[in-house]
Amino acid sequence: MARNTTHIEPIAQEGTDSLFKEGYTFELKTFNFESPSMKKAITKAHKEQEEVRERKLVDVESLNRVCVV
Amino acid sequence: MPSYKISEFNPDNLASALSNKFTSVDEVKAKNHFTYLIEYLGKEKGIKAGTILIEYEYISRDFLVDYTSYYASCFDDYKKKCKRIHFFENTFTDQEFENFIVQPTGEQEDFWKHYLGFIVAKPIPVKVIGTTVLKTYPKSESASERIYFGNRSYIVNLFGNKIKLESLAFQEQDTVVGVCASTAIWSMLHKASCNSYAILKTPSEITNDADIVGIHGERMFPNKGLSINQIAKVIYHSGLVSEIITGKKDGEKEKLKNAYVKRIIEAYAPVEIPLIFILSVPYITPASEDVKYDYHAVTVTGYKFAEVEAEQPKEEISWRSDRITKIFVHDDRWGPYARLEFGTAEYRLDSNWSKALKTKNATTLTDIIIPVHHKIRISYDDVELVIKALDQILWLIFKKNLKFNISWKITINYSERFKESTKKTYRDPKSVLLTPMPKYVWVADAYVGNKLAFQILFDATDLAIGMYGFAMYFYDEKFRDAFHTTLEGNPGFKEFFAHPSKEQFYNFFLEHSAPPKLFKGGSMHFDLRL
Repeated sequence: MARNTTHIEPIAQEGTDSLFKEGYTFELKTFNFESPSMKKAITKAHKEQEEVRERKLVDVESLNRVCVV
Repeated sequence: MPSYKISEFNPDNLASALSNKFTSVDEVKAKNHFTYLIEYLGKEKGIKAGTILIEYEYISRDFLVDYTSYYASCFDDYKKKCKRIHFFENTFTDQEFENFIVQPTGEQEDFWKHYLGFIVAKPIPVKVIGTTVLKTYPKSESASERIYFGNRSYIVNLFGNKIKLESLAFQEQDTVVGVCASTAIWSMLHKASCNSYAILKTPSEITNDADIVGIHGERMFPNKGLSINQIAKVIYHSGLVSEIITGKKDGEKEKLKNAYVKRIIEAYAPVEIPLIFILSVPYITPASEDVKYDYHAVTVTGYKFAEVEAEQPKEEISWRSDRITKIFVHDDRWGPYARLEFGTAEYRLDSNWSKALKTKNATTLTDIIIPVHHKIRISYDDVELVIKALDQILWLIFKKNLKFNISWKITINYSERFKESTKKTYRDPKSVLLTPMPKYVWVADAYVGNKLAFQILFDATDLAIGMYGFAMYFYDEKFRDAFHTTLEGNPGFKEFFAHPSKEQFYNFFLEHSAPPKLFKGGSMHFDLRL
């Protein structure tokens, strides 16, 4: 749920117009989330997030590593 | 006995100054610390010391507590008073020094600007290096910058004069009241205790806090080492809590990838509490030629990074922290600000331990202990997983239409400091300054090339299973509108978030990227283009 925060109107900074390549114009793309390529992209995103979750798990054995040097 | 002695800085004079009745000059010269300090203080690669001033009869608070808890009850006659060895860049005579110190405060600045810090020489066998506070290398060089987030201000009192120095205290383990972990925690607490919620303790107090017995039931004193579990207990008793990241087995050993380590350092640096790294270090014992590996705790005090050229857009996520080339650690077996260098290898770190061996065996990082305030409940990884999903969405929206690649920088900060930073980046920051915020916020900066495109704020005090996004600030209208419109037209993007609150995250990004007239997320609404 969005918080009750201030919304900031973008500030035109010197040079920020050049974020896009020359000649780029925006066109709304509609993605088919049932297509094989999008399903593959979603699976990839989930896999990467799963790796982060696994990293969060503390290896219990490691807690008994003694720093002896 | 004179109260001080001045001599030229050179290896013989430093070894003599560090020696005592239990430790000969040759024994001092055989120490790793001596080799390290000669280079660190030296003229060629170091901070260019020219003069040594030995202050006799010095009472060190840290040594005094350790002395009363152990050395005082030994039969041998250990002294409680230390020597303090001061270093200066310039050279001067006794007479010139005495003329300077009697001058009124404020008229001696030209003299004290040459002051480089001190080492307390303890009157015990071999482990002579006590509290050490030394100046750091310069912060900027031609194409790189050093960030010393572990440093704090010290006021050094010398013969009625106060000298201010930015540094972080170091000392070597004495292997009696504490080994590497106790000294690493001690250095960390020197900085953390600048905050009212953390307590500075001496090495013996730290070892005492760890447990009543060691993990195998052995006595705590003389100390033979602390486990990660015991380190976390000490940190808790000092007013902080620990985020623990443990390396997983890859091949024979547990280790953490360098790229991830860089992200963690950059992420936690802004709250300015040094991290504790557990290294697997190679060494040779005097009895054997075989290389052994053991665990060793060090305190992370800073890092160095170099600017890199912007890359072309690519599908894989990119991180600003990849610019980090080396980190600085207080390694109590070598010295303060010892370098750990990242090469191109996935895991290998080059350290003094590796360089000291003919075979140059690698040093690896096995675990990270991050001491934090208890209100920081959302971890770096909680934020990274949301950013990983968002980065893939951004790739699908923009592909190669952006001039450069999107790269991310995720950092924890005090919201007050974030607000202060907006004074430099926003034309009219008062709407941000007046927004109530949690004490700690995670800030994800998205750069296109080297230009900041937008920032996402996350509430660091929130729940990891909830939606902890807090605010978004865009720097480019065209970018924001393209992002918002595509997100709005494709609700299926919520499936990219592998999170229990995926719908709320999708709605958060949708609402916070909306043009002002459509924004429904807040009661306050500002147009900063005045």
